[in-house]
Amino acid sequence: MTSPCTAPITAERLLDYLLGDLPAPEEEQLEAHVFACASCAAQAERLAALAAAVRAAIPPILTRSRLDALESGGAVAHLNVMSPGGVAEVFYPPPGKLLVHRLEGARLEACRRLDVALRTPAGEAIGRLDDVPFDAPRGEVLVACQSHFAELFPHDVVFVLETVSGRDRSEVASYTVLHRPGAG
Amino acid sequence: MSDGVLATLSDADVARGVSAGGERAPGCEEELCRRYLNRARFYGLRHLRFDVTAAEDLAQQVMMSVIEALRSGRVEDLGKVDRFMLGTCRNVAHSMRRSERRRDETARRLSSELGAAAVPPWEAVESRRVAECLARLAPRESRALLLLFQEGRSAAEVAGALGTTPGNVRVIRHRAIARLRQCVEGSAPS
Repeated sequence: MTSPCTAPITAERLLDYLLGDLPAPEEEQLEAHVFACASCAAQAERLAALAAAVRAAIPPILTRSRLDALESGGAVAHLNVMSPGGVAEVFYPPPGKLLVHRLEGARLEACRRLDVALRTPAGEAIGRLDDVPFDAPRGEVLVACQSHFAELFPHDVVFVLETVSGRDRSEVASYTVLHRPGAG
Repeated sequence: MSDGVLATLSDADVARGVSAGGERAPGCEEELCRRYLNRARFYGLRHLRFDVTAAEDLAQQVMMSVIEALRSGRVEDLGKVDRFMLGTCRNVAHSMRRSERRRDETARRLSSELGAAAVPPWEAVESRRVAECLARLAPRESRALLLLFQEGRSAAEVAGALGTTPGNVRVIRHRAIARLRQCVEGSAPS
């Protein structure tokens, strides 16, 4: 039986709890309330489901630690290692698996912000990923490619790394990937 | 007793239905799972490092333990079954952290004892849709959420990665999760 809550927990506080940012006494108080209140429990359950989905989501650009976790979980079908100016022909991964392009060799030591422009080999813009994670010492960017990308994007893509400082934007490296359907 | 009638009962009456046994008990056990399984999952996510599989194991172990305690009359105050449930969550989480075990026989028995219908799934939030919505957030918003939920970074660590303060990370993450929810639920463009 659900009755209205007289002291509902805010969404911000539920998020603080889930991320472990509440002091222990407040955390215990919140838990007691959520277990006793169906209305607040419903809010907590929605947040938990969203958090679980975010945890499972695959972003287009990976961090090194995320790649390590995906590799150890067997999610990476193939790692395509490329140098600046390189051209690679690769197969789309099978459904549920990832193809990861490891774009390395770029000079990123002094870079504070990196964008990735996506173009066709003819130079037409496909899209842009702003302020992406990158590994400055390694000069490395990790691009995750999934099977359904075959339906969303042109098969042949040039990844252009652009460093951004204030209003200045400089292309530092480009990599051409020719995706082919079917298992490799 | 129909599902509609069960839904109108108080938690204490549902607990009494389990404790009393008889032909009403199976329906009351399912109703108890429907009400509390997701709360235990929520607790598990917080206390088991966002490990969804471990949180599921915790929730199922908790439900089985509580139902067995009700069946055998070990719950003294049926009006406070919520407290008993939370206490069991704490005990099971402590045990799981200590032994680092992911699964045991108790967890596997919940669906076989009560039937698959008694184990409602996590609310379905399609991960591909979430990935699309993450891509629509401001870059630092999506990056903050990924660092927090996928890599378990603290607010201070995320602040370092984003070049801002921990206090601002709290603002960013709250705004990001609200916008993500709006986008996923389709109630507003992100």
